[in-house]
Amino acid sequence: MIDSLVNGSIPPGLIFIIGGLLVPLLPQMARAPYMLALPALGAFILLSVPNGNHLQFELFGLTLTAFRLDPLSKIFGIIFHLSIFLGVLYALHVRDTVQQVAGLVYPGAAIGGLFAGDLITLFVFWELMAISSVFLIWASRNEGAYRAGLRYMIVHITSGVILLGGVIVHYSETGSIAFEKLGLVSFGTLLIFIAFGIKSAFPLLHNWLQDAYPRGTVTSTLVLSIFTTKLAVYGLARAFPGTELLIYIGATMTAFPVFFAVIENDLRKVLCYSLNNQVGFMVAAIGIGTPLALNGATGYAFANIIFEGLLFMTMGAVLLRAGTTKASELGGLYKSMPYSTVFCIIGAMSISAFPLFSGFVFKGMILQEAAHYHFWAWLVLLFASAGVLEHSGIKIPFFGFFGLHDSGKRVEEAPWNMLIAMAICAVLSIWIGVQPQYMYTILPYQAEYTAYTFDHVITQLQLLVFAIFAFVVLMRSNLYPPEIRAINLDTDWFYRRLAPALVRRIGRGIAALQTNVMDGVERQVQHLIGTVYRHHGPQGALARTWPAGSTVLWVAILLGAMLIVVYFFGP
Amino acid sequence: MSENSNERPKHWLARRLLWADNPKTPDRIFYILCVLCVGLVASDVIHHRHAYSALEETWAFYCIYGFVAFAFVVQAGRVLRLILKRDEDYYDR
Repeated sequence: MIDSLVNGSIPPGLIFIIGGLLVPLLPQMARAPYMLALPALGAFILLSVPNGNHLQFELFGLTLTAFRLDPLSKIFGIIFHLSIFLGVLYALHVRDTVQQVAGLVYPGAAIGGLFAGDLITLFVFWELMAISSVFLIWASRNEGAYRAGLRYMIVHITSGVILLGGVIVHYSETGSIAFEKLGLVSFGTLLIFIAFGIKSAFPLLHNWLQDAYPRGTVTSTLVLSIFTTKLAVYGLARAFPGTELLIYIGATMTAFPVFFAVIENDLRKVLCYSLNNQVGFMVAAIGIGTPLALNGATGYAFANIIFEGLLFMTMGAVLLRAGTTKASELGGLYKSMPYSTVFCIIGAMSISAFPLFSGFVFKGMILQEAAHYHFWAWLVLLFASAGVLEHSGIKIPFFGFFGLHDSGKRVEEAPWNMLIAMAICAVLSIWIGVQPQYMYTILPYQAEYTAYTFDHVITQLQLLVFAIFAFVVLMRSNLYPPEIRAINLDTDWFYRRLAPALVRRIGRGIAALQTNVMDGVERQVQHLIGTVYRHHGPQGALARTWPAGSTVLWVAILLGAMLIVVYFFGP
Repeated sequence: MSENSNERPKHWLARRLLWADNPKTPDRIFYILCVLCVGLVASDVIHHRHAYSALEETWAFYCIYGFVAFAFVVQAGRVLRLILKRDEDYYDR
């Protein structure tokens, strides 16, 4: 048994998929230790199995690789396993079987996709991820979540179909299904690129994220926030490193969500915009494509899962205790949730990339490479770094726990399991920030980088401290927009309002046309029937009973006419 | 959930954070930031950083960029809100 674990004959993803499906068979008491043990087992396999292609088999003449382990997949694998453990720990008080099962099957599918060595295996897990994750949205069990889940599933199944189309075209062009560096070189790879783009929430393809994730439960939004976008980032790093288009896409991703985050009232939705912006940094770094930039993207994904997860955890705790994450209804929660407050501040400082926190030691790599190779992208990323400070560094902790006014809400601190999960994330965020050299050893590419130079620290502090100063000045001048109860339109308006309105209008047009055509046909038929009736009806001229004298007269006229015709024209 | 906002928090850590409610705190933060900002600008005088572009080499570039970028994001957000803001039940109607 141990041998089969360490020789790579059991793919780690299946442990969570099968393990998750077995959860309902267990009594509630046994589920917590069981679910915590699964990521430990998966991590044991991951760390024991040597790098290489394992579990290769033939199917319809194609060689599939279910377990490809190399430095790139390994670092993502480590953080995925840690995330599952933290997710289970954070949700340990939840007794909902649907969330327990989906909370394991969905990450299991993500891990399956992560270790896929070929595009067919990737596609299978890609779709399983879409299907299993929607249950985490539906777990909220309300109409809004149900509808958002349907929209989410349509988007993600579409992404899978596009991926499959891309794989088929790519196979027909090259005869290969290997999941390796593809580059944007053909129609097939373009489709694969778009499929990855949907999952990583490229600009204009992004709104499924802000639409669906905030509708998850207190605990499920955390799980959702980790895997889908990061698997897509991994896919881009694997298949499209150095693709210049990604620099522009990534830079746009970092910049535009910050404007939406400023005016968003729901703090969990603010974090979704933040997630979008953070993935943008990774995408831009993949586009730059140098070994250091790719290390930056990978390491930033690793660190981001922890500190962004921490922020989602703190907002989940607020939702659980205060019943809302709307900034307009919060304030003063730090008095009753002080641990969560401190953890949130640590998460905020990490995501803002303050020195001594984890964001700093990886974002610096990305910014340095952008400054070196792509001036405009660097300017945008720097701008977005100030934006991150605004929405995640200040807005989340300030409006979540302090606020301009005390809301008067006095609640209990988060449950112990949530606090432990948050504490682990907080400690890791600081530890990685203080001792980055340990993380640097597991980065996938050979590249030298020193995080703590005078230049790096001072320039980052200059950017952040002056940005905070701007916040204080705007606050003192009453120029900071107040938090108000409202929503803001985003691209989901096109398919939630515009498309249904167009369909309704087109439907009404078709109905009107149908009515007009049918009316016209009816009128013509009635006219025809009327004409026939007029001539052949009881009063019609052709149906009238003629007198015998006039009939004989008409017969005589016809015969006379016939006689004349035959006389002149006959043989 | 009680609604009494004046009572002193029972939790030791919460009491440590009570400075946030002190009316003098905003002024203190402002003055501390002023001092920090002066120090950070001054660091550009005494230290010439390694830069990849002429813009990055500009004196106090990161300071000015950080301030302007933050202020721009917030003010642009105000304009964006005028266009995009809708009632909370907009999609439920």
